Amino acid sequence: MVTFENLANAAGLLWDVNVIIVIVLASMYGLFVGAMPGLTASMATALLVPVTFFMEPVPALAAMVAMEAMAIFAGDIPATLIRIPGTPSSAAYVEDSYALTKQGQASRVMGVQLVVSVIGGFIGTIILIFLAPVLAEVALNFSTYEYFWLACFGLSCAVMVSGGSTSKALLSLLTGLLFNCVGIDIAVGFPRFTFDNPNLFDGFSFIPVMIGMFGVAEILRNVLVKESRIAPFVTQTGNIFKGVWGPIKESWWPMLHSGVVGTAVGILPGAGADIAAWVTYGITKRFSKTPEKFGHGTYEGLVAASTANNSALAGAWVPALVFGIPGDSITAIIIGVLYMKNIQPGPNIFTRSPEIILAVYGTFIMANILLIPFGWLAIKLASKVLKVPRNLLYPVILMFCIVGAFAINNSVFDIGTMLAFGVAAYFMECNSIPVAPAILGLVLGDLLERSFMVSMMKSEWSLTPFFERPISATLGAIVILIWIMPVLFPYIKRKMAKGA
Amino acid sequence: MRFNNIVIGIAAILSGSFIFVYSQSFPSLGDGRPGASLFPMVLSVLLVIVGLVQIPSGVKNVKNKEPLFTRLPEFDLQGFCNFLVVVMCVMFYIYASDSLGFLITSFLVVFIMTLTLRARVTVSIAVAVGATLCIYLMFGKMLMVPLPVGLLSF
Repeated sequence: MVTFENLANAAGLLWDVNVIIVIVLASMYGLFVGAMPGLTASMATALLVPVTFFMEPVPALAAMVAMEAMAIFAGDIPATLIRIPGTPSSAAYVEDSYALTKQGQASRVMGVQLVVSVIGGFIGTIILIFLAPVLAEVALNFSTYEYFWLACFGLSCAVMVSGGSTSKALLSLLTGLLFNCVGIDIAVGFPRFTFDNPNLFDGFSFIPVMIGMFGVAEILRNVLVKESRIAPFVTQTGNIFKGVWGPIKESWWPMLHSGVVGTAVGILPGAGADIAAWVTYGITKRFSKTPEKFGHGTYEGLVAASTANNSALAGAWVPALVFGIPGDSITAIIIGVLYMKNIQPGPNIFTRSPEIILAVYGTFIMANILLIPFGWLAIKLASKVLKVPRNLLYPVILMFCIVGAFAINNSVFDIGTMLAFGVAAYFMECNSIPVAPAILGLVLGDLLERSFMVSMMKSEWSLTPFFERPISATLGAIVILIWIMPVLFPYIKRKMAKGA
Repeated sequence: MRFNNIVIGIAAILSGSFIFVYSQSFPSLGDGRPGASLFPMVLSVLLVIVGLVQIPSGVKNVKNKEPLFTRLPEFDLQGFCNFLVVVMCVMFYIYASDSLGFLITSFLVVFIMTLTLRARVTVSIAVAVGATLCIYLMFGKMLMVPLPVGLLSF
């Protein structure tokens, strides 16, 4: 509930010297990680968790929001200057931005990306502010039946939107769900797959797993890449905001619809900023008057996708806050942080801790405003950031990973967990098995099993109540439709082809 | 290392079968209804099915002369050594940090890794000392994480 008192409380929580210092430091960290090719925003979030573990909820969340907004923009800088996306979210338009750089427009390109990133961030934030409370009102009526279908929906989306082979995405999801089975089960309190190891009684600790899958896997991937494969650095000087309005004015419609579509993609569980960028780039190209220019240095696709990847960030918070279902890998980690802080994401958070929700909104607004000066600074310092030798950086990041994994439970076992999951994630990606479904399986596995078992016990093992309540039945029908779509679609296509 | 889908499929089938059999030993609910074993059993059956789905595409790839294991181009001798050093460094930290302490183990991990990644010795020492002190001050002093003291327990 948005009341003056809640707004004042939220403002009080954010307008604190410590919180502001945390936001500034997290922003600088996000810009550095985003601008550094090979380091992703998810990895940055996972590495930030051990630090936020020791903070109050509001500064912890503020740090993550500010960091992710900065990192996603900063990914555009190396994409423009050396043709290597700083984060996967900048990959969709790397050819365009680098082609424009070769035409001597690097400063202008980065200026455009900075401005549209801010606009995208605001579009996403506005949708988050208006949509989340409405959905939360609806979600207050949810019981375990609805939550079971919601978990199924989230997991199914993660498989469908992960890209590549659906069966491999399903394999990844099942792996995540099975790892979630480790530990004391919720039905009879039996220790499953613990092999008498007390470290496993509570299951795998989520944060070391995340640090492994994002941090260690990233390091393993990067230490294999030779520096000589990196394109030469292009030095650009000049006012980055000069001539920015021209391309934005010309592409105002793709920018606006990409902001909305990007947020919608962000809301879908499992689909994050990178998918939002690819989807909107594709849509803009499809409806462009000059699709042949895409990939050869056009502002249209770049403006659309760069808006979308920033708007998706706020979108991913909608299901995370309202249902406890992560919209992307970053919010998956953030849900873990909320649980660590004894805050249960879900509709009740809007009534029990409204100041936290308002503080999240406030941080999004602050982060997007701060993005202009900080982004400008990052562009100006890009030459120095990109010259940091990576052979010196990765060992330091590895040490941060080790200590970060240890810090959660002060347990060396967690470092082993981090290593095992890191190596596993590396091999998964080598074999085109997407990691995101496994992460969603780990996050949502507990909700899925708990809601199913509780529902079955309530209904005395009858499946009928899953389809008796209107919302539950609707959600169930949507989920079943998603499941049969891969079988049904080719059949309909064949029929239509025959008919034609 | 890239595996043919046959290998991935067989691994999934074997893992699924093991989980299915192992889950049978889990206790059920008092009235004989499935309890702790229900989810692992359902998931393991699905894992076996997904494993089976991988096999035909793997067979097709084998017919197209794709080997069962393919070494990725970046996985040459140097790449393999770098990969191994990362893994060994983490394992070294796990086993040695308690007795050597954080400061010494962290220094060694960063130093060995930077050297392996072809940095100069003097630079490696400087980075190892700087990073170790930075992490120690941040986690050990500011965030009060009880980092192992080891040999330097004076």
